[in-house]
Amino acid sequence: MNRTIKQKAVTELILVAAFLVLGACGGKPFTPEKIGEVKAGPGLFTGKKGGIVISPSSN
Amino acid sequence: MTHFGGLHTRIALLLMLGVFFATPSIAADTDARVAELERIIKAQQAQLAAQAKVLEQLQKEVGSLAKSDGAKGFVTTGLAKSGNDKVGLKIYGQVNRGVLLVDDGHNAKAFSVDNDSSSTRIGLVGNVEATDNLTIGTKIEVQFESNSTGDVNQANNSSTIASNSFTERHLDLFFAHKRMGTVWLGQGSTASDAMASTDLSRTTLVGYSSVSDIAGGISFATSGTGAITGNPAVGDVFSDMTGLGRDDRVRYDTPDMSGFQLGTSLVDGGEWDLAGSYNRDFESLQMSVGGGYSNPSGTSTTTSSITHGSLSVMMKNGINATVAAGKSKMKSAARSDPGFQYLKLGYLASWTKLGNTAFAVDYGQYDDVAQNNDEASSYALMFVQNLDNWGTELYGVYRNHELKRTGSSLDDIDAVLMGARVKF
Repeated sequence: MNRTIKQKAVTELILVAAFLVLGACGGKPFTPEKIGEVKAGPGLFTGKKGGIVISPSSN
Repeated sequence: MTHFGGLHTRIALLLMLGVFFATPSIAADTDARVAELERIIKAQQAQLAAQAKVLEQLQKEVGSLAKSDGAKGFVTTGLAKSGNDKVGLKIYGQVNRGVLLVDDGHNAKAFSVDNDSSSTRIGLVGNVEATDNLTIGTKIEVQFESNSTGDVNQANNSSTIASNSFTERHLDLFFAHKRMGTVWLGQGSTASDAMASTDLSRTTLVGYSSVSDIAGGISFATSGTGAITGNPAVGDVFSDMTGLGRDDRVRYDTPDMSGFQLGTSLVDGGEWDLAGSYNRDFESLQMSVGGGYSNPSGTSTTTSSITHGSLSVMMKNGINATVAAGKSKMKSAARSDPGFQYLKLGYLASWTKLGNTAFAVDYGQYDDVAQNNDEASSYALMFVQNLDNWGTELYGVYRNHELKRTGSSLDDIDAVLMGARVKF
């Protein structure tokens, strides 16, 4: 049982290390589209704004 | 000759006299024209200056509209800005409808459906930049699925089949600090939500690890008799074990650390989860990884924990691949732990100026989801055509579902879904 926990811990450490190494390999972060959510970008009627902008009060 | 010479002399004198007397009027006319031109130039300069000011203002507005908060799952592009440039508020939404054709091996049916992969909905999102580092925001989003692809079945294709009304998706507020991270409060995605669904193929409208979205309510028919009574539906035997999904929760996300982010949620009833994601855009490819551990034992009578993850890669040439897997631990010792593995291969083409065309094939194996020894598998062919300028996507998918169950002989279910998603 202890060995299993150790193995899991080692695996997780390897994964974290891999992410850190990959992070140091260049590139830049990005935000992927989240599945099921409304897609970013223009709308059919609302154009580039992608929605109905509620204008603030003149006051 | 003398005569001609005299004539020439007289003509020359007349011309000189004409020029002499005409010069003052030409000069006066020229001065008037120069003055007029100067007036026009000055007017145009003033007009150009005014247009430059308008252009500068427009550029500022475009800059503020382009500001996105996608990392938090919010749709904030195009937010209005108030006079103090700190507040934004926007209504957004989409309609996603299609025609679903289903053949259970004995009967074929057609349904007019709402695509459960990304349902018809409307939302209101707002935020305010409270300080340079702190943003406070809210999101209200509800869906209205009439004839959801996840619910229609052989016995009922009426619009009253499920909740024929608005249902909640997000009723949420957040406090986002640039250095300390984000706290969420309300109904919304938990940290582990969709961590098994990382997918960069651009075909998730019609296919991803949750394969039951397309024909979830369709029951398997018994071979020979065609009976469906008592048989499981697609949604019963396929599950991508999507963590704690959306729920009433308190959630915390760390700030983005070079693409790496951690999150945790505490859900009503004592459920909790931990999740991590890594999203990075390299020179030759984009890579997205997600994984989570959820503990729903506080409310679930059957499941004590869920572990799942996914990896998706999109190369710059359009070729992409996605893998996902998950495992649930059941409370009962007599119950086998359900699990799944999923693979998708795709290609993103740029054949037309209208928008990208995405193709993909996938295969998934889902075992022991409804009961021990169930072996469910599914494969699909799919495409999505983007019409970028119109906020529209056209799509189609063919999906096969197979279930091997001890003591039963069940026919495959074939489903074809064609439709469109329009963002308004």
